[in-house]
Amino acid sequence: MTSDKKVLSFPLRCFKGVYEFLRPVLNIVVVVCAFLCCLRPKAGSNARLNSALILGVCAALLLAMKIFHKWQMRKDVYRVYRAPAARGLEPRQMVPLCFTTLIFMIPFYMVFITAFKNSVEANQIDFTWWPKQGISVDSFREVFTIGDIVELNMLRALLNSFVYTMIPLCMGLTVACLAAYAFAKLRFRNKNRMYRMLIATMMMPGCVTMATGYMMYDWYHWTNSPLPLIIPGCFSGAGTVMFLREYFMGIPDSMLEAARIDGAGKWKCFWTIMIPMARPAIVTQFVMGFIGGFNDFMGPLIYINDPEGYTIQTALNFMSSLTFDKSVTAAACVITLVPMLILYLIFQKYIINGISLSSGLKG
Amino acid sequence: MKKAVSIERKKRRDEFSSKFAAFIPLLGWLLFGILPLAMSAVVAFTELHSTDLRDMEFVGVLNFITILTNADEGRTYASYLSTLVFSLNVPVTIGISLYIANLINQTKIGNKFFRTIFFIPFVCSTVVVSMTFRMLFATDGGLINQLLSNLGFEPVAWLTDTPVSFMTVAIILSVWSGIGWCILLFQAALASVDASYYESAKLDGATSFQMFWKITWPAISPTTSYLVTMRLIGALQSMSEMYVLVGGSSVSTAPTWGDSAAYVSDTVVKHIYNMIFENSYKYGYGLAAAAGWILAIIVLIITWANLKLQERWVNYDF
Repeated sequence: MTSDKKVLSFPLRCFKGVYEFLRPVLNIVVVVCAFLCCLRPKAGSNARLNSALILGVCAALLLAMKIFHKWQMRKDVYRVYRAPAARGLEPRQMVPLCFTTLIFMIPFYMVFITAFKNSVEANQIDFTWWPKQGISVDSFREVFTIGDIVELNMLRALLNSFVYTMIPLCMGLTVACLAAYAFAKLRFRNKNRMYRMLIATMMMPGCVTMATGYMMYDWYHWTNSPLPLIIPGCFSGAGTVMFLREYFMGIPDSMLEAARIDGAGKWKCFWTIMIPMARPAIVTQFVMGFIGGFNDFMGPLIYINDPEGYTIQTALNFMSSLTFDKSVTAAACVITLVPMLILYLIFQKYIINGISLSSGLKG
Repeated sequence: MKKAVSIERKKRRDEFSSKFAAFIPLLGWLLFGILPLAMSAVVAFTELHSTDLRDMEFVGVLNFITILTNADEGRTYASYLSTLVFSLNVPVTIGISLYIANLINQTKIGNKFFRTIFFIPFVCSTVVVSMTFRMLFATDGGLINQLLSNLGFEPVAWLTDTPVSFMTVAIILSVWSGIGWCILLFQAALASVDASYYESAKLDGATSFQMFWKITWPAISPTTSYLVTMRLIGALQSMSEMYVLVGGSSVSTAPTWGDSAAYVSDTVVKHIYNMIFENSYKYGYGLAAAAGWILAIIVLIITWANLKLQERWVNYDF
């Protein structure tokens, strides 16, 4: 520690610790109580009064501690005092962090726990935090049979989702790699002009072409088929090309020159040098594209009306209108969620890299 | 001489293949992007209730007037009001994620773990998230209502009662699902602030509040402005979450704004969707195209204003 560290008296040190620990907790309590005050209490219950009371007490406590802290701040000792060096696990940060994480996880917990309840318990008026009537997987079985009357098959929907996502993704990524290579490393006339045109295509907001895009595909007789979802994707998009181009630019020219001298053509260079070296970028784009395609809802909703062609997202949406059984809906949510979760846990590094890179910010 | 020609030809062929590789993505846009765009510019000035262009009836700028003067039973202004209220999620998300990112950066242990947890909703589809929140805020048997009734409050019909209750759910949903992305970028920005600034500030006796406003806030302002812009554009074009929250079909269960016929759930894009697919005999493609153009212009203005404002308050010197 530095020499300017002075020791606070014990009560003051305690106060500082307590203040820093309580401040976020009290803040959350104040917000929640203020929220609760707006709700209607049950007849004969003084819940609103209670929450108002708690709100007042917490706010007063917070204010008092703040003023006292501020008052102490004018003392030099208090200001210069530093907490001991971080030992890794600091309760000051850890407690509010764990608290928020727990609150954050509640929706996930609820879905998973509801999926494993039996249908009686899931649909009763009281929510139970744990399946008291035993864990059951009936609802998962139900998910695959419930759509039979309307020719909705969740398994096929899952398969559809994979097919509709994988075909344009594989094709599009190949195209994007070729284009990015051409833009980054090859020479041809009007290169910059073409690149600028490509960037300009990104400026067009989707809401403008929502109506006429549908009209166009209707002329082609492509509506009610997956073609509008598959074919445009095969040509890749400006975003992917931009991302890969940035990465290709970073690969040194000397590698290519060495290969050229050894007699490799430009496409041989592409396959043997660029693709292997850009593998992280390609995997990133693949994973991001897969998540985007698999989670797409608007496309299938607009273009596919037949339950047989539904993707998992539209099938899930349709299924929830077929049944009021919460455990079945929750089970379907879990089935939709799990492939993505697995993918996320495996490729987390790539996803996070992709986001940090595509935002174009430092850090 | 002959050799020179063949080299020239070979070179041209060589260039052609590179050019073709670069051209394919543009070809996709020429095939599927430019036609709808051009058509949209034409159709916006017509009245059209089917996909058949022969039914087209030229009406001039009537569609734009209809939308700008709110002549579609007040639905347009209501949809913009919904979108505006829904956009409240942007400052909330930014604030909470900045707080959490700061906490995560201050701990040595488990910051990867926390980031992983908060980032999970990013990979969940809007349908799953909205469905989850529909169950969470269900009137009977929902977790939130259960907690409230334990505390002695009447259960609330969150998604059908009042505009305020519906929008509360929509905003919480949006904050919950968007927080991980913001935390990720804020974390990177916070980590890149040089620690020596804080040390010298501490030596000069700055409070933590002063350090935040004088060092951290300006240092992360590029990230903040980027996130605000992106989230705002996202909020303006949101629709799927609303679509699923109200039951995932054409029959909306959402409350209406006051006594009007406009549902709270109808954000601008949802309203355009309704014009095309739910009520095309009433509104039609022409009106939808016009509404799309107006929204596009508004998005453009917001982006431009953001860029201009950035010059004022964003600091790139760190």
